[in-house]
Amino acid sequence: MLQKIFHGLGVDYRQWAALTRATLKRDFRQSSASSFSHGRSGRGAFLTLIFFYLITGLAFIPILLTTEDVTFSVNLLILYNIFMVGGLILVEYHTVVVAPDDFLVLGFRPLSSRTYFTVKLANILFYVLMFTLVLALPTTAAFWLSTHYHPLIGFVALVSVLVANFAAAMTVVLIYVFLLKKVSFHRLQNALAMFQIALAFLVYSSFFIFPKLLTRRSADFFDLTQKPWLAFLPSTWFGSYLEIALGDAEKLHVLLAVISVLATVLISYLALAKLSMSYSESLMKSLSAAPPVSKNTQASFKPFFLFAHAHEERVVSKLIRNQFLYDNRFKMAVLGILPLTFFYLFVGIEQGPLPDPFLDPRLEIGQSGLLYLLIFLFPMMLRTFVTQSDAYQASWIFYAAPADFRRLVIAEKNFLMVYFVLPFLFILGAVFYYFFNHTLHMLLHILVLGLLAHLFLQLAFLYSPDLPFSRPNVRGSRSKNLAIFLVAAPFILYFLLPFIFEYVYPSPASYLVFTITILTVSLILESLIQVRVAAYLKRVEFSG
Amino acid sequence: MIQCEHLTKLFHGKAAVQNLSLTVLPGEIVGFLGPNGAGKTTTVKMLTGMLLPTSGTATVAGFDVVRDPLEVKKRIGCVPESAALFESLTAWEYLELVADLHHLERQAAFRRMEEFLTLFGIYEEKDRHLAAFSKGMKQKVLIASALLHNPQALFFDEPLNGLDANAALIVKDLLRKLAAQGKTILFCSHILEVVERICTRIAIIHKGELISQGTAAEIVRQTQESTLEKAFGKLTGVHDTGAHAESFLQALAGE
Repeated sequence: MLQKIFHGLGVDYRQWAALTRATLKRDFRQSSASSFSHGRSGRGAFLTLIFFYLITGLAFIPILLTTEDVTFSVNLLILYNIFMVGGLILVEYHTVVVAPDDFLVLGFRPLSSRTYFTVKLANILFYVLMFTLVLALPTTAAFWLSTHYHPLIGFVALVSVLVANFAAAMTVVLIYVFLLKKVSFHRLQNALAMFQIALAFLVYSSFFIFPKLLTRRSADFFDLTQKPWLAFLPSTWFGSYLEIALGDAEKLHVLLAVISVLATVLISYLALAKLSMSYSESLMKSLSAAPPVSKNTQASFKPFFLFAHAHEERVVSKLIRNQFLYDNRFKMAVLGILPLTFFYLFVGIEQGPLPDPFLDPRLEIGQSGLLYLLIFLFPMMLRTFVTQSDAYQASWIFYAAPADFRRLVIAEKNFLMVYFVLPFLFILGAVFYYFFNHTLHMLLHILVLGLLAHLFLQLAFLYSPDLPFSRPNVRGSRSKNLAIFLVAAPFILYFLLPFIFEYVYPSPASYLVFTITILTVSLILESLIQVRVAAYLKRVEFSG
Repeated sequence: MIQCEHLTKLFHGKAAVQNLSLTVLPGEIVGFLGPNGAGKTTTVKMLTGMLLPTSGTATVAGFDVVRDPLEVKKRIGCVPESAALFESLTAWEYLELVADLHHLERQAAFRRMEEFLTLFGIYEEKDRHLAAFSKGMKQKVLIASALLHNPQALFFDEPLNGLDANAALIVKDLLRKLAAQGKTILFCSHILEVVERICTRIAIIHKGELISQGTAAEIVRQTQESTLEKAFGKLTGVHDTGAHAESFLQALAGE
């Protein structure tokens, strides 16, 4: 049956099936020997993402159970899905769209453009389906279970979310291939890095925005007759399926449903027409062109004073510094902390000025907790960014040179601490000083936070003591890290910080004991990292 | 047969290949030589349907590479210079994919895959990911994948890269036997001794243009040199290799 349909469409079924199978296998594995030997695979990151999205999907069930406004729930679900799945395809799964290797391997094989883009379509559909199911199925299943809703609602809601997500993914593909025709791949990578920051910004802000939306939920929140501007919101187009299924549809709902179908078909047609082998060829050519060279590339390196005394330290500082200056992806990833800081600061002071923890030991962290979370998130993000790179294959030089791995890794950690975490702490120090208006309190507070941030950085390196830029960019790994961190966040917010404020800050003695304890633990961790590096990297060195 | 006439490829107005006319008859192995960046790989890409020529014509196995690229691709085998493979697949999975792309009967394809991998001494490694393969092992898989569908015309771009001595001997013998069976073979290499030994004819390309062709003896005679190596140097503008080497040594001594 499927074979006949494919034949009718001019698609070679056997080639399609073989290539789709191979593509998914490639996605779930990682294309480097090092990642195999260390058990890091796309599959692990994918499963972590699935788990995280499932948790997020489950989080929608209380929303559903606490409101009887089905339209509101479904529209919110669609909006959230469009954003999450579209963003995921763009940031984590963009290699589904951009696969220049395909041309090099398949360019001389008897594969038609039509078959090729049908493979791409299947690949995108797979991810859309997987993430839609984990995000939307719990909520739509709850529609079925809920007594005051008709089972049809759950089915229609799932279909509308699925179609909406597919349209969002196709829009991403279309934007991607359009941009690739206008700008070079390298520039697009930079743009993508900026988008990643914006996406992270939105993900974090969603924790703030959604509760706000929920407190304002009402029967007329998504009422088109009262708010005609909602017709411009894509989620309303797909949400109108529900109105039709419930029999409450007005002419506008029907019109919007038709628009949604037409838009999906048109976008898919335009996007897939561009996903041919010739697109892969132009992409390959674009990639093989040298990236634009900054005027500063030839600038001589001035060793950083703290890292100038030995070869390993100099190597690491030069490498990370230049990567930060010339690799916009890395730069944007690091600088992404700034808009987040300002946003969380804004959220934190919405309920009033940031409280001085030395004056009120039993203070409730509340929304300012987000700002504190950044102090712990930033080191973890840095470790990921500094170890992963598209140019990871160049890391062979570490293994060919007579370098001390322990010193390389420790220097890497120290460089991140001194040149990235410390400036960030200075910014926070200025913020705290503004609100506390007490220099000593600010300094003592920043010292503790700095020591803890360093401890987190050490733990991150203890967990995975990788050399700088020596790992391939594993699909989904950044989102995976974020997911892991969000799981750890409650410990920081509801145990660690309250403990410090309540038991450490009230007396100088307890403060001193705490800081000495942290320093001692830090020293132990420093030794442990060295032991771990010696064992870990020795294995890496001889694993090929 | 591989045939091209006045084949030209421009990149941003600059000629990578210019006015190239070349014929490789069935049963022939033509060595395609040239310094780095001469246009060998661009020529191979045009002849295998990977790049559209800017002008000129090319036919492979009786089909025009521009008008009937799929028909051409069904009839050719190629070992590309890039040695690109889907490295996260195993050797077996990769060959299976190639067999499917060429619509080979599965059992027959499996038998052939087993034979090829055994001949190259990597059958035991068939379930390992290609990323974990050495350069030479990957090259063996590439050669196996180029021959799997028993193509009429073969394009080998630096096929001996990374191969061990035994595997290189096998490939060289294989090329001769394939040519004897009537296959058309275009062989790009920098190893002049190999080209001289196995190729029936040699074509030399420099800065995108064909500057000489004939048997090794004919080229040596045309250039009035004593060896193919010297003839190649003379044709491509490198006269005093000894002076170049001396400059390198001076640079090392001056550290």
